Amino acid sequence: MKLRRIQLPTLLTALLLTPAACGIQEIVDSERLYPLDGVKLVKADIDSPSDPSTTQQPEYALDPSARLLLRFESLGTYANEIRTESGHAIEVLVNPRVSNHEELETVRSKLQLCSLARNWMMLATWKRGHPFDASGKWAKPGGDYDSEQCFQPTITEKEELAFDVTPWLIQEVRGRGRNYGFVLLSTSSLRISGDASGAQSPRIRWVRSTGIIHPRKD
Amino acid sequence: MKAIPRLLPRLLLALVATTTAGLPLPSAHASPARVGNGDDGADLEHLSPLKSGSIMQARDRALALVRKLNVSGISGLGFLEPEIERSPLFLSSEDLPANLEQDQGVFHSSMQGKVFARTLSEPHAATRFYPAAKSLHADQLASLHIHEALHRALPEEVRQNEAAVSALTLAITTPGTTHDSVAAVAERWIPEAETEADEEPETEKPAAKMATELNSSAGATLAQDARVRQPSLFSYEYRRYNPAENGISTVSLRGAHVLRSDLYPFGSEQSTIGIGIEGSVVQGSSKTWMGPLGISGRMRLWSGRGFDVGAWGMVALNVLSASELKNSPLGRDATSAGLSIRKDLRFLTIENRIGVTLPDKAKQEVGAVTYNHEFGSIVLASISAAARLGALRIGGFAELNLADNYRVSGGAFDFESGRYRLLSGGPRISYETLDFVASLSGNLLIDATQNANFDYLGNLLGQGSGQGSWVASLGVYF
Repeated sequence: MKLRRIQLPTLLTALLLTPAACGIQEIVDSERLYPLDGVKLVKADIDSPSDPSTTQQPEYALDPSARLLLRFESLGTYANEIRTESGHAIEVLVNPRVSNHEELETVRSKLQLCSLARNWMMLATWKRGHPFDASGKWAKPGGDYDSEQCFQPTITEKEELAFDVTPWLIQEVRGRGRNYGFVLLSTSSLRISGDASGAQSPRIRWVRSTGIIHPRKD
Repeated sequence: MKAIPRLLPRLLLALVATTTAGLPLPSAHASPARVGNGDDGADLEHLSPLKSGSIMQARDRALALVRKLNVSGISGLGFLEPEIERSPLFLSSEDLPANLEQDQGVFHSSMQGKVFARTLSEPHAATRFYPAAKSLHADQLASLHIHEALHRALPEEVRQNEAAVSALTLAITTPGTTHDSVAAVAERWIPEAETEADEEPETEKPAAKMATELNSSAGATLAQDARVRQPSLFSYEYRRYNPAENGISTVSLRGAHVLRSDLYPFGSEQSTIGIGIEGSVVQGSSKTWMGPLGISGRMRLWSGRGFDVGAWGMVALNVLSASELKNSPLGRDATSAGLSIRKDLRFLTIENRIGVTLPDKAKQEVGAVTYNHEFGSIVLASISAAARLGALRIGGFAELNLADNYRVSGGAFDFESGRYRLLSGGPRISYETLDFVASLSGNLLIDATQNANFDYLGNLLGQGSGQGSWVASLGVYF
């Protein structure tokens, strides 16, 4: 037993020192995929901030007068570990309710994800981002967004729509230190899987630098 | 002995002068004299002596009752029978409104606010009846005779104590009453001889004496402090909330039914201490929930120069609330304490209240995000005034809630209000007697910083919800 107690720290030290002795060879990346926790439907004909049909739904019907506010609330804590160089991107994934690829292509052309310019909470409505004081009122009903920072989706291998929002991360989250999230706009009527739809729910994906050093496999 | 015949005419003259000074003679046109139960003598005109009729018959009925009960054999009630039998009776030509505080007792005035009868609280004084008394049936008139006679017959320390006189009247006139039961009530309310009373600790027995002390220190009529002796309250109230346009609660509140019981078993007459419980049922748009449970403590600290000073404290607990209410800014426990100062004038009541509500927190889950509501301390200051027209009180109040801060944070959202104010006010109309109160009041938001509303305070049983509320209540004092 005495031998074990002596050997364990020694082995651990050796394990840590071995890659260092070989030199910094490679940083291993790992993909991160999180469901968006801030998912809120704002609709022109729903005034109640706590209307149960506006959150925790399996799907949402979008049209020009119904939009989806999306945000990964704790993104700020991960902002500095997200890899954005060397072709890495941070993406927002949504799943339209379609039956084939052609429909998905049609939906893709009608959707865009825009960066919100004002803070909001889960009590947001078509008219207000939050119910507190004058700062809660949208300048334009439906959500104040930056039209210069709207993103078009691409179709992934899994037949999802992916919005590359890397410029937004760099400019808004890292640059300005704010995470107001996005508004999903649709020019026609369509349905999107909601936050209560399990694996189909709106998610965010990025590549994370683990910081673990591995020897190069040449 | 020879001096006696010489002094006899002077003695007789003095006796006649003394007696007539106490009688409400119709010829009293001199400057207003303080007669009766403290009125200004304006009602002395047009009195005619009563010789027959229902009121005289009721006197015989009252006499028969007190004789049957042998009331004369009860300590402190020895003069009741002669006071009923010998008091000169007069009938006024017209009714009088029950404007005086001492008219508010149930034996003195009708529900329409008209006086039945008045007497001077001194031995051998006359009794004046008013036409409203003719509407009473025989038993009620007999009770009225006994009540008025008690005001003259009881020992000086207690004869102006309306609560004591009412209690004794009820003891004598209650069907099935006995000599012993009347004696028990008399023992409770009528103080012992002064030498013995001095040795006794202050309990309920010398209440009248205490009230007289308050009376003398306040320089006001005794009845103005009647609430001291009946401070306990059992009431029901319905609150109708005006929802805010931008409500922060996830529940939509329409109203609340509140059952309240404030009992004052502790302390002395001068500083009563009570504990109150408020149970509530809150109405939503489609369902009802068990609302907060309020536990309060109240204490009358001091009375003097016509002022009543009281302290109050209240904890509104949400431990019994439904999850919907817990999961809202209204789901916090609100702890408040403060002081109230009240002054009752002849036709006006003014009350100031100040209080503090301690900081607290509440959690609210909306979707997958949890928000923390942090309430700063709140200072409350309110002024209310009401004109008194008999038992009717018409007035209003203004209230300022000054809150230190209100912060909402959750996920990537953070809102902080900084210091903010809520100015509210509204009318209050009440009908209040010694035993009963009915009121209608409104507490409406007049002005607020940053569009704040009562939801920001998170105190459903205190300031309420939304843009304010209307409150209707019925209560019984005892």
